[in-house]
Amino acid sequence: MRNRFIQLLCNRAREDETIYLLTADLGFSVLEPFAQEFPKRFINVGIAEQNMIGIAAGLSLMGKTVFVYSIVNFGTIRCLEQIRNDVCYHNANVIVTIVGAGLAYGLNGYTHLGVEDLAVMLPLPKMKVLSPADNYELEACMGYLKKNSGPSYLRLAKGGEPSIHSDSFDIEDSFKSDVASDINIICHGTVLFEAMKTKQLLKENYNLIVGVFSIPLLKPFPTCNCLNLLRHSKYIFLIEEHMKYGGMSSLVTSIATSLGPDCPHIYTYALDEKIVHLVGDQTYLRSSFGLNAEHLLESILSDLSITAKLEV
Amino acid sequence: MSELIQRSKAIRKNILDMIYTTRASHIGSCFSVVDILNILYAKILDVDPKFPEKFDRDFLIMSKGHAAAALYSALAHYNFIPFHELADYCKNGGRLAGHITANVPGIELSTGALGHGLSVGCGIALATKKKVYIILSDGECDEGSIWEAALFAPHHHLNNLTVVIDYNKIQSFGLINEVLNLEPLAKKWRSFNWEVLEVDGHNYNDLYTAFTYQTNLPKVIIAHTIKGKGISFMENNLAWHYRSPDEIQYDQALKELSK
Repeated sequence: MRNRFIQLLCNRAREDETIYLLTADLGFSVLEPFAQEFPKRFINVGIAEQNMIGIAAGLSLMGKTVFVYSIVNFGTIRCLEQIRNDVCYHNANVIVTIVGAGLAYGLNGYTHLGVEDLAVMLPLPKMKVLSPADNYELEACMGYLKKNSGPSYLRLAKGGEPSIHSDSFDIEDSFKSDVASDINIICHGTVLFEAMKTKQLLKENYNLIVGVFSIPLLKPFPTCNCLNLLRHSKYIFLIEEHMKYGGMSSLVTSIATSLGPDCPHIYTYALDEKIVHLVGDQTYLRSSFGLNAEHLLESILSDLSITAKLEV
Repeated sequence: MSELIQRSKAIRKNILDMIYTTRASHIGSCFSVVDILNILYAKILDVDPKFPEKFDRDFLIMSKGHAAAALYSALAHYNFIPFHELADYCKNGGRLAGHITANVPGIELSTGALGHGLSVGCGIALATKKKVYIILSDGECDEGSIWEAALFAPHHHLNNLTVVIDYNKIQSFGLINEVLNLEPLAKKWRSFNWEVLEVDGHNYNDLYTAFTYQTNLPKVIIAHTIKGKGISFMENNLAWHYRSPDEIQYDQALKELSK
């Protein structure tokens, strides 16, 4: 996903001379194609994220469109006030691009987990938030960012993720990307891989048909389309590699309350607010936190049967 | 320069009125920076109040956003905003917020959280051949982000960048050298590869010489100033970081500024 990002950015930079790329000394063996082709528009500012965001805002005030690149927490929480004041307050064309979303960098320990970032980025005024699941969604995100200027947050995983979709993805119509059932999954980011596997297991082993909706555009959130899906669902399962609070799950549940008695049963599978002391790769951590297909299957079956019993 | 001195008294009078009327804070921080702002607008900055957003202009970022009244007052004196608007300072529904807000003609950056202006100034300086001026407070130099930017500017040869430090020696909780000593301040900036000039921040000849000094390095002017400059009972007095004058103090201050 990282490499596809830099290819797409190079394509855009060839057409648009205002495109800059800044990094806080990260992206070795990823960013070089841009650095080599556009040396005057590439700046490694050193390990100084606050300064990087301020510089990006200054360049943007001069008419540039600036992508900044870092690992999730360093590019967001470390320099949050610069993002809030210098970028959002001034409606600057700065696209905060991070890698290591969710549990992608799990072997590197808790400092490198991106599981609170959405809670700080989603409430920022003017900030657009994009969380692609694969390269098709990434392409759709880059297309969206080209059409829509202003402060943006692009949340990438790392490299080597499988492609889930087989065709181009309509980011502004993501709630139509699957056929809705009574039971529907809503997710974002690369955990879509597990959701699709869960869907397959439910069908093959239990003859249960579920819809899976991957929503890369978290802000502006497609609220109407989401409400429409909720209204026609009996069960909604929200899955994300993020803390339960402050991410997509909070967003969807807060929207759902407006449905009153039409609100479906909603279950959230995400991380509890605990420091993650476990060391492990993404597959290991997903399994440990119930976010791999096998555990998701169990949880969904169990929650469905509990709810069904309660309703009898 | 005598014109400038008369003007500085008038700017201070407007600040006094604004802060007295709204009972706002930071009068001491405003008075220490007045002469720096005054000479910048009078003699140094290439800006046009008729076209405040023309692309080919010099840029001034007032990173010490708490001295907002001083900047608003200077902007009125140099025709960017009407004088009558100063009466709206810190008032409900007005646009002159207690910390600097950029929806006012002539203001490049909203500030108020310290340590932001220099980084943004570096970004602007990268993208223009014109001059970029950043005014920092001394206490602001406690912020780590200042030193991130201080490393960056010389590395990238931003010789169109000038920093002015309003070194009035007093920060929010006490004397600078009691709270967190900055000394040797000139040596620090010099060791970061900046051209460093130290001047009396209330002496217009000194300030002019420093601003027009030619160098191939980014420049920092350490302006030794007096907190509350111009009003005898406010000078060098921590209390006037926060306090606003009562009626008797207002009358006395006005009298001193009218001399």
